[in-house]
Amino acid sequence: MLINVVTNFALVVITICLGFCLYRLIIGPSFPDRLVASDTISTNTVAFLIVLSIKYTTQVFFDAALVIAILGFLSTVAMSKFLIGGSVFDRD
Amino acid sequence: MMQSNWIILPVLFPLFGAILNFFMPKRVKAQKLVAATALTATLLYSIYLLSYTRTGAIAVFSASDWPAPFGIVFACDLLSAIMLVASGIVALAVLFYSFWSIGQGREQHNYYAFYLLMLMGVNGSFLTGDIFNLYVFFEILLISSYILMALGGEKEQLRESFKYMVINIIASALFLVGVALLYAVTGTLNMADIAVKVQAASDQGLLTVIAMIFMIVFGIKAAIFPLYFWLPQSYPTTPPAVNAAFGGLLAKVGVYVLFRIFTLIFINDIGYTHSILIFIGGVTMLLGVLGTVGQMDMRRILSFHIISQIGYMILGLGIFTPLALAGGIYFIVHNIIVKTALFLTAGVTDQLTGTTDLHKLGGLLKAYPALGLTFFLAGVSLAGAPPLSGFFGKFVLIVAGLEAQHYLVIAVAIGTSLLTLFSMMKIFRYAFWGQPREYQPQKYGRFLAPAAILVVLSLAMGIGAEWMLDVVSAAATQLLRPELYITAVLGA
Amino acid sequence: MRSRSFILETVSRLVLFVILIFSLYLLLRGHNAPGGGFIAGLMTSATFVLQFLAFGPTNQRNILPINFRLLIPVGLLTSFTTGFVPLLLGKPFLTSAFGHATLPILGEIEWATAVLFDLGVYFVVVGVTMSIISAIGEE
Repeated sequence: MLINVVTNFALVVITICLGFCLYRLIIGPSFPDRLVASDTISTNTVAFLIVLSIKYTTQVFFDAALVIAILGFLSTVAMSKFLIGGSVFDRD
Repeated sequence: MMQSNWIILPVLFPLFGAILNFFMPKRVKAQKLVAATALTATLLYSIYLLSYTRTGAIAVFSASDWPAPFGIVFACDLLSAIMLVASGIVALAVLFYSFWSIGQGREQHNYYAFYLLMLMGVNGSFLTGDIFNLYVFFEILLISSYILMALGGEKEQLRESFKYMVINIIASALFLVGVALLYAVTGTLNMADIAVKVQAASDQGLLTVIAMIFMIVFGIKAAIFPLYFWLPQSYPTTPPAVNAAFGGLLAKVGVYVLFRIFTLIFINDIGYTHSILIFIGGVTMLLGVLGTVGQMDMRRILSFHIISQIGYMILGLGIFTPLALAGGIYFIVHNIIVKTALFLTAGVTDQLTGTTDLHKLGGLLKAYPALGLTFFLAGVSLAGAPPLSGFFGKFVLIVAGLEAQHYLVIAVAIGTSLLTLFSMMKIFRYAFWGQPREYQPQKYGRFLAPAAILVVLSLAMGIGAEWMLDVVSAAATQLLRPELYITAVLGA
Repeated sequence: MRSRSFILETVSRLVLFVILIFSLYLLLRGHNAPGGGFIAGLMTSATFVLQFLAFGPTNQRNILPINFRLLIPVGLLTSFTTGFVPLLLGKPFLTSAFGHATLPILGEIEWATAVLFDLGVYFVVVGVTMSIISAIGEE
């Protein structure tokens, strides 16, 4: 089955990518590096789950993917605000 | 056996009270009323349950109508009912003491709501027949206790409550590991079903390992040797009312669970597991009481005595004869009541004089005679003088130990008794004897009333020892025949 | 003085209803598929936190004048009542009733009282999360 080969290949690639991101997340050296790395990790996790759903022809991972996407977006926003202003929540 | 939907009420009353209290954080009077009503109802229903299970019946309830091995089961046998009544009495006493002592600040930050939630966890732990549900109720109890401990937030209090939290989280994680392993071996979480499957399991070695994990978990929570180090440090920093509830009640929930699982589930290798329990019991009681020697603070001394007294209960479980188990159960009830009374008197002392440091006290007997008398009676009851309740608990345990020929540990138990008496006398000599320091004459009747009532109960337990021993022997016999529990839960 | 980001404000306005509907979806199907009150509550609080981040605490309170602390007992009471009513009807605690109903647009659907229990959990989770977040944010 071609689809099986493709999804397996995609999973391997995503996993390697996650490994690189993890390396960047740990090594740094600066805060923006880590920020981008964590954002990429959440994006990649979403991709991983979707590919997994295709591989097993099921929908059960979709909701998990959506939840991770939302929370990933939220955490990136929060961290970016921290990066710009020094605090997550503004005081008026 | 009966199928009773209502035995969950001891869990629901406090929960409902807590919910109502959350609605009105600023209306302290209404909160008090709700809390007192909820706990009184719980106590009354528990007494009804006791009278019901006294006939030897075991009441069972399956939540959401799912049949036994699949759904969550609540089962109330005689031991559960006894524990429910004891905890109900103590909970009410501490609640009334809180009314006079806990202070507006804590009251307005949902003190009563979390107190009720804690009792919901305690009662749930006594009733549940599902080991994962037990974990859940333990977490409810612990999370509320973290809050009660940290509420008010003095510096030392916060530091100790953080320690307490970390230690209990580690214990809970281990608990979860134990539950997972047990599930892996037996494929079920229902305690009765586990008991059946454990008998048939092929890998008995692994089961002993799991038994040891559970012993460690509840050893930490009940503060037995060598895992008691956290208790004498963390308890005295809390407000007196909280201290009384923790010292009187919380550690005994761990002991109750040990009684439950080591008579129902882990009874395959009694020669191994229960000898360890005997050894631990002996060492715990001795080290606990030795810890008091260097202490000069009333509440610290009493906290060390919690540990020492838990040793006796574990000893009763370890000897594992009907008489010993009966003695152990009697001792738990006695200890819940007397220990709370002692902590409450220590709290009253603190309120009246502003300190519990023995160096700074003296002559309290002359200044406050009723306080002195209450403390004296509670103290000698703890040490085990007749005709108070402590005597009969120890007496039964010692007779059982001699019958089972555990001479060494019985010698330790008797020695510990004497040391307990000695350290109670130390408190008495420093704090109550001698010339009074300059104390303001105050009215303290209502502060002392809960403790005095508990002491009277201890006296009643001593005078009515025959009836009490009858009940606890029935409970012990029931515990030693796990097939009763199993058929009650699973059906024939 | 707070810094405003128009991109963030626009995006969070657009995304608000998408996430809310998603959380509602998770809530409604929770009793027989992955989902339920807990995760739905988390998702809902995620949208609120996003508004919080984009518009600041004061505006947030103007848009959504809810006392989140009150949501906790309301949710608890909802769940408690759902469990308690069967007890009064002679069934065990927490027994759930279910059946089928035909609605105008949706057609035939299955209903269950377990959803009410989930709703209670949902309120509690939203209440707790938002209380924590606003405690951190306003410190």
